[in-house]
Amino acid sequence: MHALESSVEHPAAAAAPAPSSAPAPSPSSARALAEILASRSLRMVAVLLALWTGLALHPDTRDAFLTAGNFSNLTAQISEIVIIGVGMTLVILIGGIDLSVGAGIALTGVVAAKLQIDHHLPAWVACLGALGVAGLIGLWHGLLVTRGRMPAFVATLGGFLAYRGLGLVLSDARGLSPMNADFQRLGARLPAGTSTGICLAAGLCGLALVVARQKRRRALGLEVDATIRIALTLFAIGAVTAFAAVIYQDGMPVPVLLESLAVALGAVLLRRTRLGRYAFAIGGNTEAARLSGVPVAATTIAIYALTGLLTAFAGIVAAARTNGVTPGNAGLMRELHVITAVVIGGTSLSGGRATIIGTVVGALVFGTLSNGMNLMNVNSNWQLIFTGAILVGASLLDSMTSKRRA
Amino acid sequence: MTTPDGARLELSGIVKRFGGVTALDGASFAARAGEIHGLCGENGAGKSTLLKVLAGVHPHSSYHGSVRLDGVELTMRSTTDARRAGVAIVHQELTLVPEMTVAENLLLGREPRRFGFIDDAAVEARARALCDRFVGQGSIDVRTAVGRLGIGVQQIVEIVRALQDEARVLVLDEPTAALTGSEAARLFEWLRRLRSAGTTCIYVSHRMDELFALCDRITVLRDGKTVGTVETAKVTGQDVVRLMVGREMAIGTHPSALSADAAAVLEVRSLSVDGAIEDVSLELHAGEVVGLAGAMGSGRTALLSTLFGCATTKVSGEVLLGGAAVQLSSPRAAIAAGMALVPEDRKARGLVLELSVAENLALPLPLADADEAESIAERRIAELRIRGRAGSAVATLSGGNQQKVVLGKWLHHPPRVLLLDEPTRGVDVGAREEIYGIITALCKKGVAVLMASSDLSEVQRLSHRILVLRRGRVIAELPAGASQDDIVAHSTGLPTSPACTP
Repeated sequence: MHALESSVEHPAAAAAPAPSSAPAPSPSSARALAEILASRSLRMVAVLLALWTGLALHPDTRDAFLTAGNFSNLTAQISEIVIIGVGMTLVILIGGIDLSVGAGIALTGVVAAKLQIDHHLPAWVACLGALGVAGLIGLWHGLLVTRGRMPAFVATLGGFLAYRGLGLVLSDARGLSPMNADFQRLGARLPAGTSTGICLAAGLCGLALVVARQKRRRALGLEVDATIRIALTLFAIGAVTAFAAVIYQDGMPVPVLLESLAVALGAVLLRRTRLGRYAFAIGGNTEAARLSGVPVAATTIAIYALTGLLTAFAGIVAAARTNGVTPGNAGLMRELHVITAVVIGGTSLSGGRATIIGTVVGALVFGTLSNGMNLMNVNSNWQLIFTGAILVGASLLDSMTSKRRA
Repeated sequence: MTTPDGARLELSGIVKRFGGVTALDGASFAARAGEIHGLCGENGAGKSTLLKVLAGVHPHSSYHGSVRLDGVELTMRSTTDARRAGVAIVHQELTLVPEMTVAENLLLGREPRRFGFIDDAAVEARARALCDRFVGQGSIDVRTAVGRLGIGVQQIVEIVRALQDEARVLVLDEPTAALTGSEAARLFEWLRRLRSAGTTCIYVSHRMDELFALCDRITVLRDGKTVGTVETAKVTGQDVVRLMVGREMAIGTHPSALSADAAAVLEVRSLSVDGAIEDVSLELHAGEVVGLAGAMGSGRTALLSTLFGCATTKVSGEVLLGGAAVQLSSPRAAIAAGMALVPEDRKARGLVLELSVAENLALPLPLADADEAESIAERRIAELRIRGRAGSAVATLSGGNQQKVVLGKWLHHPPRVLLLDEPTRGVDVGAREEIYGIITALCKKGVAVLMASSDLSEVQRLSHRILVLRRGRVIAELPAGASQDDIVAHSTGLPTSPACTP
């Protein structure tokens, strides 16, 4: 405030053209480091690493937990949560909610299964069918919320009840299996060589993006990022790439590939497209967004439709992994698991704040708890208690640290 | 460029209805190129609706009448259309997204893209160029989240955003509502500069002094109609007020004298609140109004909130009510001790908008049953001349009447100390006089009033003494007759004469 006051004292500056400025030196590393350490996602990464360390040291789990196969499983187990989580992050960002995704998994699984088992259609047609149904469902939610001016909670609560019912009706409440061979491949593993290639290619992409960002900033006369930030980013990219190459040495599960693609898509959408920028604006201040010419209704509808499509992907992956669908159980409670992952990841339920990477970390925390408890043969009831405690703890941390802004 | 009569912007015969309510009933006015044209009227006169027509919020098909810019009829269907046509609006409520950075806010809805994706570096570079050009070199860190900036800076970001389109018409709706005197003065300087560059500026305000300091002409609206456009140089404030309200207003000037032996009701000793106020001491006597002046963020609101038990950080110091020390740990405790607060933001903190007038009035009362609450409400409505029924939702009342409800909440058991924070912000001239009347009447009954206000004429008008705050400290105590120049000089830290400093 005071800095500004002194500068506004010279209105003559308004008339003068902006002099070309030389690239400013990068901000002090100490400040950059402080910013990085204050990052919400990083704090949850620390929680995740602490959990992993605990499980790696605990006598009941130390043999089984820290193995490539277990991590490969863990990341495949959370694929449904992550895939839908990408859409849910956007939905929650704009101040909405989607309670229907668990039922959506069941319904889209049934549609895909019916098309290939009863109608003997190829796998790709079955997938398109599921995607079509879920896309329409998402569109419907978007219309209810915008044109119907309905609270998202109610609009999707209707879906929560109806879609599982619809799945049960379509399947006569019977389990459907087995899926055809092509479809089952969506739940299988990639060849080992391909997996390693994908990991390395992804790492190189990350590296290229970091370099391109610095070049672009320099070209426009902006200061480049602090060295420490660049170094830590590169270290993180390297570490994740190496870790992935190791845990998928026997072949990456296809669900993991799909979940990674969903994450990449979500991150780009959120940070590098107008849809994402508009979502932040709508979540932060809807009225301001509207008055700035942001197409609020269209953006909202698109986000619900996208969540529908991602639900279908998750339904397909779930059906492929288990080689069948039991409509009464498929995706049961998944909507709550997804919301838990998103909230642990730091997305604000009151809108305006979200990261995709946070959601991924949230899903990993969720998955690690269930994986670790299973390895320890702990009663799954304890799993609920621990997950609940972490969810509340993470939210409490948020409300305590953001108190100053209130 | 312009039509023969020199009108750049011409609105004629605008009629706009919401259901059965006619908000605009043939409103018209014309503004020239290079003119600052004032627009005023009481709340409910139709100013906001007229602005929304101009802004494209109400699409062309939803109203009757015509809007012409440089002689060309505008048929805007959206806010984007209005922007493209060269009409830029700065709304009264800030329309920034607090979680987004200055750069993201400035370029919201027009992000530069590269290979189809938002080019963040270009967003930042462009935003920086805009701030450099309009505000001053390196003045604002465009990577800061807007929510972390003060209201004054946010207002400037808002205006810079409107200016970036080389707007032909700039519409400002109460732009100084949240600004300090010096910020407002700079804004005026800036607007005059724009005027000489040929921009037409429509300036909406309640404040006569601003309208007269800035505007070439003023159009007055009443009940959705234009009652007249006057040359500022040829009329007085009284004339304009008469046009606005349609009747003569008696404008009193100074508070009545205090009896010399009035007892001290509230004593504050060395009150400090982490990050907000430092070492504030003051004394408040029965029947006295003490005005708190100072810039935004000077600690006025923080002081009042702390006295009402709302501090969020560590508090030290001593507060005595009627000679006895009190612990101000919560609003509940403050109310029990005999304090009442009329907060700055009545919609967010003063009222429960969904509840009725009667229910709002009964909020501080212990479990009044519905009938009792209604009879109390009826009494309050008659006493304060609230224009609204006991059963109607408080949200449907005008700003002035809502404010009377907030005041009325505390009158069943009149408090010993009444804390007022911007008691007439967004309140029209007529209701403002009535609120002043209520405050004066309470003082006569012995209530002590501590009033924070950024409207200096209000501070002058009501206060027996004026405390000026700067950066959380009381830096001057001025007597009732202090001039606005004096108050501003102290609050900005540039005293006009050394004798004034304490």
